[in-house]
Parts: sequence; structure tokens; C-alpha cells
Amino acid sequence: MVEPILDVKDLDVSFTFPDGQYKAIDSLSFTVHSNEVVGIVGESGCGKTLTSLAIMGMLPDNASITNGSICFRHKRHLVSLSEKEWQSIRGRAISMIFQEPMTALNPVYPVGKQISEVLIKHTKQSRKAIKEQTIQLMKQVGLPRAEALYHSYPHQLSGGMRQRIVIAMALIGEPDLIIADEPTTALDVTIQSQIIQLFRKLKQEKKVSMLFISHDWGVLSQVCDRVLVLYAGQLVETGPISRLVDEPLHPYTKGLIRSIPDRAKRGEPLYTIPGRVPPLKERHRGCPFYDRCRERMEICRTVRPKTVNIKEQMVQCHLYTEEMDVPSS
Amino acid sequence: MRYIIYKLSTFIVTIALVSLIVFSVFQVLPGRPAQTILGIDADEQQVAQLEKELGLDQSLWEQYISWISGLFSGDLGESLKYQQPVIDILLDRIPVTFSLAMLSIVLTALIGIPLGIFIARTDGKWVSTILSMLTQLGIAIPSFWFGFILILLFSVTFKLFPSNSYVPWSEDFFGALQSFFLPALALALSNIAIMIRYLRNTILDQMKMDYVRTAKCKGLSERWIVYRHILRNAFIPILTIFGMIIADTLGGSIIIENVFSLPGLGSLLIQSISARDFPLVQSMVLYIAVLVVFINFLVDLLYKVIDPRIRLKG
Repeated sequence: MVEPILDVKDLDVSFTFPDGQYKAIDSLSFTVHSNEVVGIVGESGCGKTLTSLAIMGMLPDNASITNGSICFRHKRHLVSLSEKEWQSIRGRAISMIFQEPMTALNPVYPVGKQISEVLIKHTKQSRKAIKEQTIQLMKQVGLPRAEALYHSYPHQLSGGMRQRIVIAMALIGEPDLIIADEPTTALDVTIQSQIIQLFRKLKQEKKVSMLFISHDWGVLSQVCDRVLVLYAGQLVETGPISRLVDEPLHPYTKGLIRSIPDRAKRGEPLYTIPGRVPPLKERHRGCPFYDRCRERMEICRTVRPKTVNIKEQMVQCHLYTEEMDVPSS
Repeated sequence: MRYIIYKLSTFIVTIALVSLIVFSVFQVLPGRPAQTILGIDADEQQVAQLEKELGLDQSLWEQYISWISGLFSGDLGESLKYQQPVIDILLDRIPVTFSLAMLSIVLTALIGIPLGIFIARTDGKWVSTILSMLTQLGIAIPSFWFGFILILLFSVTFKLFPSNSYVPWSEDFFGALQSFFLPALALALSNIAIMIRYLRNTILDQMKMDYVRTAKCKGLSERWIVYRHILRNAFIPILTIFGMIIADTLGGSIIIENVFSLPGLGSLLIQSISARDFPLVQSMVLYIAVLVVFINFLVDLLYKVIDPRIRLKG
């Protein structure tokens, strides 16, 4: 098997508060291979964005990696790097696409320069060559009249164009991995599908590898090869996108799939998973989904389930473990 | 273009209002100028005679009209006390105040901006905390007191600067610079403190913005982000503060000129108010007001240069 581009093992990310440390991400392990798009799905507060910030080395001041490793291209451990080392990785080896393109761009800086400064920082090419390369890429991501747009300011562009600028910004350094944090959520539906088309094209033509965060299964199924389902900072299920949509194993994944609006279910009230993601300080030692699970058992309350492989899927749930009949103490 | 026309018309309306207010304020002030010129011994008839000569017996409206029409032909009237054209007196004094204000503003920018950036970038460290505390002092202490301290320190104790001798630029460039330096510094200190605090807060606010996170994700260094991304955004609010600082400097020079015995507009203004020299005072106040309004006008135009988004709002 080919070596993964990104290999996250047993990652713990904890927040430090005056009253103690709380794990927001709990033994998370996954890989991203070359030219693979891996989706991360889950409700708000499940640790999707935190995971991407950990990979970028941009955790907030009160959060830190307390255990595990992030291996990038099998040699670099993205834990305990200096700020200077991080700077050489960001934009060049790993880059990021954000949800809200209006605020992600500097309002008083021409958009072309915001793209090209990645190359100015990371390469030694002449300014002219950099500008040409930028305009070339702007055309590739579907921006018309790129030469004129180069000198425009963000407020002069439409939402879709701004997101294309942000995407160009992430691509220009030719990174090995792109992390896209809900890149289509803030866009109109028509623009959304155009941007999804662009991502598909980039995957085919530029062979990019991506970590694609979204809560929209429709978007995920169009772009991703595999999906990780996060719940309360834990990986509860993972597998190929088609398997997860057709045959979800974990009760949480089932709930997520059931709550997708569907024409076939017209007239019925939309399904919602009762309850909410437990806040950071109220997580207990058993299965994190215990409180909201429709299929919970006594063991789920106290024992954290092991991860089980079922065909191409991996699931962390007592429904599939063999120790199901272990008496509860 | 529409933006400029709009700003220009507000500029003109403001000036017209200011002239009206300036004129009426001095009519309401107690004390008759003719009486002041003639002394308290003069009788009512002499005072009335002089008022007639000076045109003070006309209706207020007529006086205002003749003052305004004089302004347009460059005739600001004649000083009651000095018995010479107001314009000559002003032209004599303006360069002194102008040099003082300019030097003070340059000092504010040269010291305030780099220190503000420095404090923002070292936020949370002890250097930054101490400097922040010092800026509190800088704002709290009035400029004339700084003036006294600077005179005591640099003129009396170390004898580095003259304290009471004014040297015009035409006579000796460095001598003039020396005579302006201490008063300009005294005037600048509190503005430097304001500038530092304001710039620091603006930069720290900007650091939380999404575009800064984006810039970090590109692998840009903090230095690059501060100088190329944040400052461009920070200069928009800073420009407003700068406009206020300039207006404040003009006002502050009135007191500082008296502390350092500089023959500028400030000292003249105080003398002519006590002498009820209305033509002179009116012209001076109007001049200062026009200057302040004009600076604000310039600031508005500069916004347009710095912030590309303004064009939409025009």
C-alpha cells in the first residue's frame, strides 16, 4: 500500500481551563492518501475545525496536543515544531480553504496580490513570473478576465468569485494537502454546485489530496472518497462515502443520514437526532453518544467501545463488538 | 467624484456656520471694545464717537456682512489694539504656530506609530505592560506641565535647549529647530500616548480577524502580516485619530506658546481676547476653525485613498 500523505495517530487535543484540562479530541486516528479526498462530518462542536487547526499548527492559545502524533509525508511530525518551521509548511505543504470568503480575504488588499504573496513567501521567482503564474491559476479556477481581476478588491467580487480566489490561494503553493473547512456552506446553491465541480476538476487534473470538512452529505458524496464521522471529538465511524450513506453502522451516522432532507420523504416532518452534543466539560467515560442513542445498552454508559472493522467500514460501537455480553459491573 | 463634491459641500456649509457662530459669540461677550481702547476714564460721548469710527454702531447684520465680504477680498479688518491690518499681524504669527504644530505632529507620528506597533506585537510581555502604563500617564498629564518639566530638565539643568529665546527659521535653521523642539515635544507627548493606545488596540482587534488567520495559513511571518495586512486596515481608524490630534495640537499650541514664550497665534489670541480686539480675535478663531475643518476634509479624502471600499459609499 502507498504511504499516506497524512497520518494522524491517537491524537488528543485538550483545552486548559482554570478548573482543569478537558479533551476536545480523543484518540483520533486517520490517514489521507495521495489524490484522496477525505471528508469529515459531524455536528457543530464535534471537533472538525479543531482537527484542521491542529494539523495546521494553529490551535488557540488554551488548546494543545496532549497525546498522539501527526505525521506528514512520513517524516515530519507536525507536533512540537517551531513557529518558523510551521511557516515553511503552511501554504506550501499544507494549505487551507475557509468557509466565509468575504472575511477570509483582506478587504484592503488587491486579491491577486493576496494569492501571489504565497509564492513571494515560499519561492525565489521574479515578481513578474509570480504574477503570470497567479493569473494563470486564476483562469484555471474559473475566474474570467483574470488580468483585470488581479487588481480588484474583495468587495468588488461576487461570493462565488471570492471563494475561487480563496481556492486559488490554497492551490498556488502546490501543497501536498489542502484542508477545506466547509468551503461551500456560505454560498448560494447554484454557486455551491459550481464550486463542487471545481473541486472535482482539481481532484482529477491536479491530483490534489484533501481533507474536506462539511456537514452536508450531498456535498460530501460528490467530492469525497472516504468520510470520517466525528462525534464529541471521537471518530465513531469511517468508510467509503457510498457505504456510509447506504449502510451506516453507528447509530449516530444513521441519525445523520436520516436527517438529510429527501424528496421521497416529502410531507413527513424532518428527522432530527434528539438532544445535543455534550459540552466539553460533561463528557463521560462510556460511549460519547450514550445520552442520545436509540439503541443504547447498559454497557455503553460505562465502557468505551472498541473500534471494529466491518468490511470496508470501521465503527466504534458496542452493537458490533463481541464483548456485548460482558456483564455490567 | 461624487464623493469629493459631497465632502466639499459639507466643508463649505460647515465654514459658513462656523463664521456665523464665531461672529455671534463675540457679540455676546461682555465689555465694549471702544471702552477698552479709550480706557475707563472715557465718557459715553467719546466711546460712541469711536464706535462710529470703527463701524461698531451699525446693526449686527451689517457688521457681519461687511466682515464676510472683507474676508473674500483678503481684508480682515484692522486690529483695534495694534492699529494695523489683521492680515499683516496674522501672517507674522502663523509661521510660528504652523512650525510648532507641524513639528509636534511629525514627532507624534514618528514616535507614536512605531511604539504602537511594538506594544501590540509584544502584547502580554512586561515591556508592553510598562509602556501601556506610561501611556496612561501621558494622557493624564496636561501638556503645559510637560512643558515646565522639559524646560526644567533640558534647559535649566542640562542646558541643551534654549528656554525663552525664539529664533526664526530665516535666521538660523538649527537654532529655530532647537527653539521649537521642546514645545513641540511637550505638545506631542499626550498625543503620542493617545496614538500608541489607539494603534495598539486597533492592531490587537485586527489580529483576531479572519483574514489574519488566512494570512497565517499561507505561511506568512507575523512581521509580514502586521506590516502588509494589518497596518493597511489599521490606518483607516488611525487616520480619524490623526485628524483629531491635528485639531488638538492647534488648540494645545495656545497654552504651550505661552509657556515657551513663542510669538505665535496662541499667545496673540490670549492677548487680543483680554484687549477685546474683536476683529483680530474673530479672524483668528475663524482661521483656526477653517484649518480644523479643512484637515477633516483632507482626512475624508485620504480615507478614499486608503480604503478602496469608500468608493461604493460615495
